[in-house]
Amino acid sequence: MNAKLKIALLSMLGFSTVACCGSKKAGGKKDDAQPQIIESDSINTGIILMYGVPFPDGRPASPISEEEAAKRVEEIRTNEAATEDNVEVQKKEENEEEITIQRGPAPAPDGTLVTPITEEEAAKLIEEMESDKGKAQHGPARLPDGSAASTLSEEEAAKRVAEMEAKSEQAQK
Amino acid sequence: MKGQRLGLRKQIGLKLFNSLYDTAVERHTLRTLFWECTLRCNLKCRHCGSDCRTDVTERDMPLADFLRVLDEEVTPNIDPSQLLIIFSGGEVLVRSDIEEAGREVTRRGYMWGMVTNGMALSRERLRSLVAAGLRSISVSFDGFEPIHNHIRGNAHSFERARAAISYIREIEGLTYDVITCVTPALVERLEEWKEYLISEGITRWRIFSIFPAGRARHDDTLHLNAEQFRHLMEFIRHTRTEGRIDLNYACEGFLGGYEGEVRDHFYMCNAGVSVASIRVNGDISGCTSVRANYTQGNIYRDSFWQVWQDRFEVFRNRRWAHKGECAECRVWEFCRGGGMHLRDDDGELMYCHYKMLK
Repeated sequence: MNAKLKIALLSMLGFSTVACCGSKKAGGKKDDAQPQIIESDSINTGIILMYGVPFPDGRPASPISEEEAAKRVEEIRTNEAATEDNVEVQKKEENEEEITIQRGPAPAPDGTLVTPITEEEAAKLIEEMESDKGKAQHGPARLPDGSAASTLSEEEAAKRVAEMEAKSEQAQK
Repeated sequence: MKGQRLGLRKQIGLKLFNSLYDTAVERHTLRTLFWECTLRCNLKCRHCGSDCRTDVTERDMPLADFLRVLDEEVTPNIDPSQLLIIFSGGEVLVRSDIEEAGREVTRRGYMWGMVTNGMALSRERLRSLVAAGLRSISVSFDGFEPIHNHIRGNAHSFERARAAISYIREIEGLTYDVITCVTPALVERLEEWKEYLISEGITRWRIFSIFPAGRARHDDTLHLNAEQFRHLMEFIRHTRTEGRIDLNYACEGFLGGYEGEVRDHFYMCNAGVSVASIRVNGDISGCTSVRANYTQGNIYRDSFWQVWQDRFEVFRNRRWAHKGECAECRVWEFCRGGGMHLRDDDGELMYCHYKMLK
């Protein structure tokens, strides 16, 4: 598999390829710099180093007036205030999109998400499953509400029976 | 919280990236060259990994010596437009000839940039640097005024950094970001600090945590504990999802479940792979953040290009680091023993980000 294909796969998996192609992820934000894309089939451009600086975007630099700079800061502040609600909506949409892209773990039947496990844990589980094959594992019986019935002591069982009988008498009255 | 666990998608992504990393090592195309032009500084920050100050004994490297290396060793072997030169210190602006240096490297076709604490960056100085070809700049801004001034050891440092940033915003086309070293004093106020930066019109932000080197080595008030570090990771992840400011964690450290979520790239240590530095005394090494003795040669004795091509084995093949706490680590294949700047003179690991996420 050549490098370009690997970079394409990384993109499809949803990972930024800034280290691969030197371009900055847009992030959906307004930014006055349009990054220059450095086409490359290798990585290491675009990563900002400790004690380093961001890679220049290729545009020539020129001074603007203080007033113009202040105006641009004010515009950013105004946009921030005006789009607060939109950010919330957008955030929700991005989260939903992220979940779709991630193709993350499918929810369990009760709606909870399965916690991701490491390869070693997965391998161990498979091993355990293989070694348990053939053994009947009925596990604890399920109560009507879905919870596992636990083994009761004789005293607890007697207490429960007495409670049930008392409730039944109450209902009949 | 994400912690150490890697989901399947991320594992696949990391494995793909790993093979690309191997290719990058094999090619070791030089992309960034630090020129440590001075160790002098107009501050004496508590967290300085280079132990810089006003009274260093090492003299500044003459500009002509650096330009000789460029002309004789680097330029004949690369495309200058693909190499970023970073003027590094100390505080670069204590040198009065930085504009001359900038003009000279620009004339040779290179891009250049610098990091500054902002103390000496007046509006006029910045404009003269831009006229000399400055294309990228980072300003250190470590938190609210009491916090920043405490770290920097100067009562005016916050105001000067803030002013420097405002001057930078007056230059259209100048790439910049703001760097914050997050200390325990700031970690509970990160949301406030973020809002402040956004209100100042800052669009690009980088966060470091302080590693134990130089003056920071024995100062526990600067180091985040595990809980604070995890809080920081969650903050960065959440801020990136918000999308109101472009925030990245520093390039260091394998971050387990946070890989791909707190910076724009997966972890890789570029020291000696695509990054070299020429130190103030002529030593050739990886990034300037590597303070332990991993010197590969010296420009006053060796050919820089030959050193770059034929040495740097310790940077490019990290098998030697597969020992100690790394020996049995499940993420070794992705981490490769961490950043070179986190290894001491004996090759021992000083700090592990992944362990902090347990």
